[in-house]
Amino acid sequence: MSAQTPAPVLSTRGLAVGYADRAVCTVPDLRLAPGTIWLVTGSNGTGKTTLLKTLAGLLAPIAGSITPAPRPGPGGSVFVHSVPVLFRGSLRHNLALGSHGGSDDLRETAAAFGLADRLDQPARELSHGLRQRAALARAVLARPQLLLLDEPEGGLDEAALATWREFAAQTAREQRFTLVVAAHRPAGLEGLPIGQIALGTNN
Amino acid sequence: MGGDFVHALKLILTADADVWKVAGVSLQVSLTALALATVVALPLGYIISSSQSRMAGIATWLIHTATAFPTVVVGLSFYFLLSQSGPLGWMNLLYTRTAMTIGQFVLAIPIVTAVCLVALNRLGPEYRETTRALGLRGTAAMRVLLAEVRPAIVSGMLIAFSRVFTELGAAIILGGNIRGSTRTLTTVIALEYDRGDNARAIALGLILVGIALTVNALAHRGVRERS
Repeated sequence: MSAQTPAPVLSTRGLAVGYADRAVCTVPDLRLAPGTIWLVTGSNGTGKTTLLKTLAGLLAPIAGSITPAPRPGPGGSVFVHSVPVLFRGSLRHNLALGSHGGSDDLRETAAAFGLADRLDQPARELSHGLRQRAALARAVLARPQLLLLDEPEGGLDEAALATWREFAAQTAREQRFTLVVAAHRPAGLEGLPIGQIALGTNN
Repeated sequence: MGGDFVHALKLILTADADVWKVAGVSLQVSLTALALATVVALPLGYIISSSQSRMAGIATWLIHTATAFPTVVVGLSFYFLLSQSGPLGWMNLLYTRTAMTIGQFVLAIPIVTAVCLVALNRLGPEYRETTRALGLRGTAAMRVLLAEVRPAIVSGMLIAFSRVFTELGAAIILGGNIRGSTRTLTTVIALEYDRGDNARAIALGLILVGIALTVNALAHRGVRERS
């Protein structure tokens, strides 16, 4: 294998995504190199969320193939909902759920997302913006190869958007994982080297 | 009747050691049965709610049906199993607190399971997706999702407790109402009523209701404080 073309984190061929026998959309063939950032665009109902869940291994493809087969969880693919689920219990408990590292790693990541003083607060009592940050921190702590975010900038205030922009820029710099973001517009990714995956309706 | 009631209140105030012993047996049998039933019911509810197969639908229907089993039918079924000529007669359990506990355990399982199942099914799919996305499998995912429905589980346990603590059929058939051993509040109420001692039956009934109210109040307070 040559150094110029590292093996992709994930590639697809003839992929169609959807539920049971109902195809939501067909997807152009993808080849996601390590450390790259991708923006999935398309209007409502074009299958952005369905594609992300399929690439994350939470849904089976309707047709076509994904190589290697997605492996949800730490070290593999981690999907974050547009309205993230935080479980009953403290923020610390939530961050530890998928975490591979120790408590230092947890504290450092929480600090990076501006959550250091809130670790012992009930996660459910956090504001929407803080919950988005918490879900992102939890996903990063799982050390994913592929991080899939569904509309991560939705409903964020300016301060939270700034954290998100900083996170995206840092991801582009450090290339720790491959990032796939579904959004109506490239909010927060402007000026970054991103690839685009455009979805259109199938029916 | 009014005289019986006044007499009953007097009896409660001057309750003898015998009454508290009977109340203690009732609580011991019912709480043990409930604890054991919960250990079985929570994983059972989780497994059924996680299953995509057609068997899950059948299991759900069976569980809901079982919540309505008459206590006397459960009592009789275990009576035949545990009696000397029955397949489990060699265990010599008939007319013991263990036999009563088994009967109440079987009565409690479907109630806790059904409530747990309904609560888990009402969680949005995103809860399960998030556990999968974070790589939580098996018991780790189960613990997280059961914690989400904890208030419902406590409600289910309270309904189950109320059912077994106040039931008579299984307790009297499997326990035999033996003084100092398997006599519970409900079996002794039935006995006093048969004897025509209405005041004593009412007094014991009021104690039964009082304990049920206290347990419910404590449990609700516990849920409020922890959620």
